[in-house]
Amino acid sequence: MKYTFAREVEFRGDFLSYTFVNLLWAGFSVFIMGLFYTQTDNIAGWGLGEAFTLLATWHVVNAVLTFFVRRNFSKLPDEIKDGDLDVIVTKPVNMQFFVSLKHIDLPKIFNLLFAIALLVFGMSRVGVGVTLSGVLAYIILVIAGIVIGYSLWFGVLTLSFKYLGMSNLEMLFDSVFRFARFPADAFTFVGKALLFTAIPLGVMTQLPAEALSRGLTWPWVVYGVGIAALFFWIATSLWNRQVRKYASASS
Amino acid sequence: MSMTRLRIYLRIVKMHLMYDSVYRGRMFVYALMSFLYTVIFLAIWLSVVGGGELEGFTQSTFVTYFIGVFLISKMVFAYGLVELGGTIRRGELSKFLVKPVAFMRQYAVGEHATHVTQVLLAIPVILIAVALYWGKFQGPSSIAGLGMMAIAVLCASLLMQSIAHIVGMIAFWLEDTKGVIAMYFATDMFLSGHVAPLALLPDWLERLSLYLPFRYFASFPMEIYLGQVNTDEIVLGFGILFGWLVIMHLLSRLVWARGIRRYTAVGM
Repeated sequence: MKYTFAREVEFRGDFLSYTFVNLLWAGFSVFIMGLFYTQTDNIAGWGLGEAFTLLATWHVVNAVLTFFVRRNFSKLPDEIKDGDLDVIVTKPVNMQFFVSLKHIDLPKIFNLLFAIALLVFGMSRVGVGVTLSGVLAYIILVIAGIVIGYSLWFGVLTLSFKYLGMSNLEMLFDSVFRFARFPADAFTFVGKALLFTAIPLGVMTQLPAEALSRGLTWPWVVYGVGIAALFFWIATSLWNRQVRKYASASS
Repeated sequence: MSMTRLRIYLRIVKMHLMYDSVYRGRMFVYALMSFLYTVIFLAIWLSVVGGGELEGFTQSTFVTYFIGVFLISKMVFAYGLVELGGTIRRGELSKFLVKPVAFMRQYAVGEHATHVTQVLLAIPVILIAVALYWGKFQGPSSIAGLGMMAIAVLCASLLMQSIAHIVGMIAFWLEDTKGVIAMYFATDMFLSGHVAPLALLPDWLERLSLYLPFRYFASFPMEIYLGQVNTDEIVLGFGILFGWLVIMHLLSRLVWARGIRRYTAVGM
């Protein structure tokens, strides 16, 4: 942690431009959401405030994921291709833990602050009082959402064992991930069903947002946590299977 | 163009197609990615418009518009832009400089080869989309419109190349061009009509977009296809498009001439 911070401060110019670009993209997403609401005042039953609460939730999940794992995950396909994974295989730590959390991405703190500000704005527009149980359900579901996001990303990355040179897997993940910026309710029936089961991005952001802005029954919270556990288990077993089959390029 | 020239160009095209087929996973990801973007925005707009109409856009206009924009972006997008900065910074430009064709030509020919791959990959995706939204896909407003649309797309593709050169060559002066490129893409996505048809942007932005180059990368050809622009507007549009094409082409040559003087590669 200390090492990572020192490294960041050393490259101050990069630090600033990187932070700037990140916030620019975040602002851009708000602009897009706002654009939809210049033409309507509700999308599939979601008002402006609720939609911003949802978008803010997406930014929270994204900021936390990026803070911890993005840099590591984006390098992983190349590390697998070039055989750099060898070094890690020999280390006496849990490999999944190590490849996930090797470097953290400090500037993303600003994105988290941005997300929280957006969340406050969204909730102020919803006009519903915030309840303690709502906040509690929100926190639980956001953590579940982070686990879901992590698992989906990690699961997709195991593909790069099979298909080498897919350094843009990160971009693919990003574009799928973007579905979660909008209420799953807005998609057609099949789309919505997928977003709540096989590709649980709806569970990742819509459930927490609903918990906070509308109140959600506890079975949904249990469902969210269950999906998170299931997908984490799937991703971990996929990874372990591929690692066992992994034959290095360097040896 | 002499025969030797032609052979050299064909060789570059072949090289690129081979490169793309080695990394087919990567190419497929690009195709899938842009399709997902399209689907997200299309789905939200369909949900917003419902059974009604927004500024002349109904469900079927939205479907046709977004599928069209998707296909056009496959023929226009500058795929190499992200890599151009790295090529310059790492000094890999040298291997292009020693070849018997100007770098910008090689680069552009390569891009058009990638466009071919991308369109081929997009065809099955588009067929699926048309099947999904069966009955909502509109034909072209007229045959002449289809022809003009093709010309507009071709010009847009050339214009995008010139602008991508300029943006990419900033790497001659800046260490890290990611920020500039990100900003360029964000502006492009918005003002070319990838997020929403330009008619649905706030009025001032819509008016501004008419005079900027971005509209011609997606919206303009589709406006012709859907018959949303009259003859005067088409003539004005092509005028602005050709104007930008000339300006950007000249500018890219100027930037190249300035930039290459600053270029020194490792090992030189």
